[in-house]
Amino acid sequence: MSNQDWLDAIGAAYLVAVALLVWGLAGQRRTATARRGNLIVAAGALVAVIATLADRRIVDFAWIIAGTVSGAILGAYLASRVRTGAMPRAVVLLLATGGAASLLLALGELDRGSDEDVPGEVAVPLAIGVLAGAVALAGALVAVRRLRSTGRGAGPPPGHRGIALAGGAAALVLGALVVWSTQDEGFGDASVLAFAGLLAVVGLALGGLMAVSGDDRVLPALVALLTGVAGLAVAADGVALENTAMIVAGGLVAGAAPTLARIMAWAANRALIEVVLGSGGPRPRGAVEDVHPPR
Amino acid sequence: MAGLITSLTILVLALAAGHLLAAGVAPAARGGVLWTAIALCGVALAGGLIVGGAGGSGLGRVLGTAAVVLGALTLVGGVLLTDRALGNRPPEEPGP
Repeated sequence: MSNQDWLDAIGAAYLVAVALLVWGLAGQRRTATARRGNLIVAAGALVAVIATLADRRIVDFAWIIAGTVSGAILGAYLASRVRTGAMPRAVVLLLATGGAASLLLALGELDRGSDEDVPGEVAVPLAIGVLAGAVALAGALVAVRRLRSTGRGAGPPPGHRGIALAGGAAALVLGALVVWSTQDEGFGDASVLAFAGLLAVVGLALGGLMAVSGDDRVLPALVALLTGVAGLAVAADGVALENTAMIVAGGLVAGAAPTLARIMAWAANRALIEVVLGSGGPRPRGAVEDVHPPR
Repeated sequence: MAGLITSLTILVLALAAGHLLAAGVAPAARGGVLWTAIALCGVALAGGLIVGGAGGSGLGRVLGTAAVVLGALTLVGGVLLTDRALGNRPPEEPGP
């Protein structure tokens, strides 16, 4: 096959993958077709991953094939062996691993940028991927802990909103530094990864903080919101790597999950912002809670 | 730059599609959509393949390979868990 035929075949494969993803997700809207929809989504993801293997940037297959197989076996083992009552917690744990994957691959790609030139349009999405991946990872891990011990727990630390604000500002500064250090020679070799590492740490702190802020009733909405953040990380990494599959899958998740979060928050009688920042305090029993339904 | 515009266009469309699909989900099916969405984050596996399989040695490839393992874990585990849950009954939304 000529090079162009090859590229066309890959493009066609991505088209099929995207179609399957959307079709599968649409099937999940009703319980009757939900199970089948999940499997169709899985098929779409599989096609996308296989198509990615044809990416010309991949030269060494040994480790990544071994890694894929190992991860798949671990995942299958987890899914089949976890007891039914622990399944919700298991899926939130998988959210953590998903966020970690986005975080690590963004860091890895930034590391390659220490040697070569990384254009700004790659560095910015990678920085977003680092931050969002870290937030999702830490938030999900804390959420798993909270799911195990609901009703107990000390609640958010005092002044947590100030901490969140400071953390957000720090994230912006560090993100800018990451991008800047990929462009400018004056920073030194290790600086990109150093800034990115710091950005990741800030992201972890913000994610953990977000996960302790709300009360127990917002936990489903919190998980949904963190899923959206993880999707954003996947999409951002996809933009950086120009991988259509990641952009579409990440975008679908980042679009769908926050909408679900908003619905879930309303069902729990909380405003969505309370999921992130926490409410003013425990609500008195029997109080009329005036939260408008989402339009 | 043109590639970036195209990528962002695709992203915006995907975001819109995701939002619209999620807004029309039946209440009993919401958990399933969320669980599948979590599994979908495992598509980061694809990015890991690119970063981990690139030429040269060093930290980048190690991180990429780690991302591959975690991504595959998330994708396969998530899909199978969701299937198991949907086979039993509508999965509970992760909650207390």
